[in-house]
Amino acid sequence: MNLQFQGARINGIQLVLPKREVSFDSEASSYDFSLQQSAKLKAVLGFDRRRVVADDVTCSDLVVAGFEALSRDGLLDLKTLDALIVVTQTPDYLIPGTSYVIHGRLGLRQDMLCLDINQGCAGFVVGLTTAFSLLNQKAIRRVALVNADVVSRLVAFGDRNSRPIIGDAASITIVDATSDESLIYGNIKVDGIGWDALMVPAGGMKIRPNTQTAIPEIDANGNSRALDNLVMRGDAVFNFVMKEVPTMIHSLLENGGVALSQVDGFAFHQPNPFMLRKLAEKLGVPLEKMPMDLVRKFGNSSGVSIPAVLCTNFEASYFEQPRVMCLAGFGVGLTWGSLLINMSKISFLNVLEV
Amino acid sequence: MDKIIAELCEIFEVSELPVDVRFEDLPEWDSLNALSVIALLDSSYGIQIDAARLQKFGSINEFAQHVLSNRK
Repeated sequence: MNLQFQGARINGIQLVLPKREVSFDSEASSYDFSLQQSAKLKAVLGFDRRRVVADDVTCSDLVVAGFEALSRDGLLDLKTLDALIVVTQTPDYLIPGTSYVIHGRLGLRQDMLCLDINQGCAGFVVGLTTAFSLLNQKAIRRVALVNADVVSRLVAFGDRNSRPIIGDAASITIVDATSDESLIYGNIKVDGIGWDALMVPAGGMKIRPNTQTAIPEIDANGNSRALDNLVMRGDAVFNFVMKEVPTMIHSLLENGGVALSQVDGFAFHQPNPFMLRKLAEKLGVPLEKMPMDLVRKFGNSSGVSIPAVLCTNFEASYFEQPRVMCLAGFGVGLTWGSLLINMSKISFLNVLEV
Repeated sequence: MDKIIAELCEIFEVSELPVDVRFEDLPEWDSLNALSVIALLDSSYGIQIDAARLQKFGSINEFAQHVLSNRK
């Protein structure tokens, strides 16, 4: 589906990373890989360093710290927020939505809209399109889009396919109404047939967590995980991404009347460097225009990956002149979405470590 | 035929590959190599295949025949 927006701009992005870093080297012995396999996994899939929260840290903890830092640094007056969108797959509670918990902890004003969206890998694109839509309301001039995930808490210790790449993070993106008339183009698609390619089987209403759902079982690839844990069919995701994402990007650029070579940067979701390299090759994007080192340095932080790429690979000063950016997220759902956006005069692209 | 076997040798980092065995019979067979084979088929042969299907081929020879007759 082609989308089009006007009158909205990204003002600034605050990334929040847990200080706690774990390395693949320190965990490799628990996965039963050979030395040769470990070396190859590090080189190809980017198994290296990742940031994870402590066992009792939640999304709202990261997000509240991020908002408090923005407020303290004079970058954001919390009273100017008209809407708060929280995109997460790892909410603090089943009920209520995490946006309300954050609203309460920050003491935000009553005259605003709170919204929770359950999305992961495409969560920044889905969240931004929602923020842009809300800005059509006269009463909504500023939206805080929060992306937050602590997926490390759901990944089994013995899941050697997924655990070495999973990182935790949160981001706060301030989206403002603007009189600037430049258009933002978007494209979103869904294939719900693949809803079980990335999932946590137990914990919702279908399978309540109990002593049985906590017992790990070993699969054909040597992964040990329980129904309470994240399960990801990596090969299914890879094939879907290679089939759908290049087509989507071509369609997005055509719709926006922009040639591939005119795009200044491609900030894509970060499943692993292998998949990003294959995507860049298939699209014909020069590797230096598509950052792909997030997994290696910080881990794949799900819906936070795109803002994390922007905050760790670009300076705000880079956007003093307008830059044409192509953002794309793809995964859980299955969903794939992209945006073609002119980013300029970005007030801040900050990284806070907590 | 020789080309795809050479490409598989490169992925598995071996100089020779027994073509009458199944993928999972190879000591080098693991999920990363499976992903590398899947990526090779996508980029060089225009074929999309999942890991479970790869393991169903009766032999690497049968796999190679399938790839050559289904390439796009």
